[in-house]
Amino acid sequence: MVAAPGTSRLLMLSLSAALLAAAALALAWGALPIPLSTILNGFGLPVGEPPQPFETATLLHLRLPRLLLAAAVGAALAIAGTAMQGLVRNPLADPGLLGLSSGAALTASTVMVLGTVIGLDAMFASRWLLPAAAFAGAALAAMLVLHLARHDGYTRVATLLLAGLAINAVAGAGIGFLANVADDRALRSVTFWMFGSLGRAGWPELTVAVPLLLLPILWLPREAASLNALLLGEAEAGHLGVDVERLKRRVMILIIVAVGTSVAVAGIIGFVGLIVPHLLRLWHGPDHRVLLPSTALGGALLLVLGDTLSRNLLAPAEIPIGILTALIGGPFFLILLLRYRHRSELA
Amino acid sequence: MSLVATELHYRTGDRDLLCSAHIHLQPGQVHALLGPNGAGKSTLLRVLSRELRPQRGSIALDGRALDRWPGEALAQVRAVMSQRDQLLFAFTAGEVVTMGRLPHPGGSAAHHADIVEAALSLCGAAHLRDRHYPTLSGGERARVQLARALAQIWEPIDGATRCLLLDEPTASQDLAHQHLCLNVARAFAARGVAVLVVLHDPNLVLMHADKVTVMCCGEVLACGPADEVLTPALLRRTYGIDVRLLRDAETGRHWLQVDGTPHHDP
Repeated sequence: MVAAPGTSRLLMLSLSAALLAAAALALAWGALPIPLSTILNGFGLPVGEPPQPFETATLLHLRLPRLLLAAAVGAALAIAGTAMQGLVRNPLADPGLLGLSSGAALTASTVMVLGTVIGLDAMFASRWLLPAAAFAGAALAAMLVLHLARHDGYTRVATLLLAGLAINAVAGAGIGFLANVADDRALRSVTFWMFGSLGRAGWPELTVAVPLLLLPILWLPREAASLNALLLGEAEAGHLGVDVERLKRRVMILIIVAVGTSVAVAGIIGFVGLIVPHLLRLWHGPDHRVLLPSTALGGALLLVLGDTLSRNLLAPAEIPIGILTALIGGPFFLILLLRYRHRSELA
Repeated sequence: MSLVATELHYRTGDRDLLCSAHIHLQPGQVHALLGPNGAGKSTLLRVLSRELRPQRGSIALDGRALDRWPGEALAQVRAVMSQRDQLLFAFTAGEVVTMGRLPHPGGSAAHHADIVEAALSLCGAAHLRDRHYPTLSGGERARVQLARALAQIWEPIDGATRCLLLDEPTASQDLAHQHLCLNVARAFAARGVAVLVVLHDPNLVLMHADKVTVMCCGEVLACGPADEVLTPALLRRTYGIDVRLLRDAETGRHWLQVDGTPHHDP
């Protein structure tokens, strides 16, 4: 294909630099401040003082896994949002708004409750069963909304959003109910599922979640040229030689893996898939060959920064990360609605 | 070699949209498809482009059933310009035309860029290259889509017939651009492409088409050279209006003049 314009390199470089800076901040800033030079020394660079044992423990067991999880979840959610918008050819689609995340959260929390009832091994449940249940929930929600909104080869975004609204309402009620009947300590904190948190996962969960999250992050950019063609219309993409049905199935599965895994390890973190692609489209246009990799970086940046703020703004209390993203994302969605309200697709 | 379709039936719901329709597109010819609204012209074009699968009938491109063509190979020789326009995202016109090069993954970026540039110029859209597609007018968008279809089959592929299927390319064009679009179709036919173009104006057919197929109610009423087929009798039967066939004394060209309003619902 034709090479993307050279400015894309500047975009990727700035995002990578910002992500590195945010990562340094995430490692350094917290209840126990650790100087940047000490962190670099810990990574083997010949600067600063070597870290004390308690500093090493904080970095290795608390901040580093949290940082990696924030980056992976942010990247996966943002790239899944971008792909979803390409799939239905509308910038308002977002896996969270369409009910995929809450569908995943409902099945995952159900499995947790049932698991404690029948006495399933907690480690096994949280590491393997939870992601599987979250996939199933996200997949069911995705099939439901896409089926409902599809008519005559067109996907109606108004119906898509309404169906997502209904799924979000039902799933929210279901999670609330489960939280009330369950005595499991983890589930009683309904805020984990509804507003997300990156503070739960340690290395064992990470070893399962990160490879799963990397799958959509690394694979979706390979579909960029086909997704571009899909924006012209499904028949038009077919005329250009794209196998549209298989493309849609592949991309949908990758979106479900991204959303399901994210919800299983970090609960519902909304709007990442809406804010990041929209800002980057404003910056560099809608070309998926640049947009997909740059939204992955942008999503990682947003969640690493957001999580660092959520830990520190009201320390020692922690603001759930989903509340932060919703605070930014809600108004953002309204602005998007205003921008696109004249388009007949929303009528 | 050519694109040959015979005995096509296409049914959706309880309506027959095509009843044993047939068409034969030949390289080097501009073949027009004419008929009243709902005659099945767009359906035929969508069936020929493999977008819809007919319940019965056969379509062969270069002697090979259309179904048996791999998607990519087909996309290298057959381009389609439809009337739908769904692009909401702010691609530039140049980027839209570049998408036409998707079936040709080889070649240098500069080569593709040259083709995109040439296709845009040919369609009178070179000045639109850096404009955002959603901000263009209907006619401008249609010309960009035409340029995208041209870019897709710009270069000959060894031994294969190239096909260009155009669904009402003149629909939203002003007078000058209507003729520009059809001159483009003619230029591509001159390069050995088989061109099918859906039109509504019989005079445009007389001016620009080598052959015409007239459809009504999913059936083919007539097929042949334009000035033999488009008789006042046929047009009266098809559209229910009276026309006179006039002949320009200087050029010897035929043209049709409409007399009065429709007599009956055809």
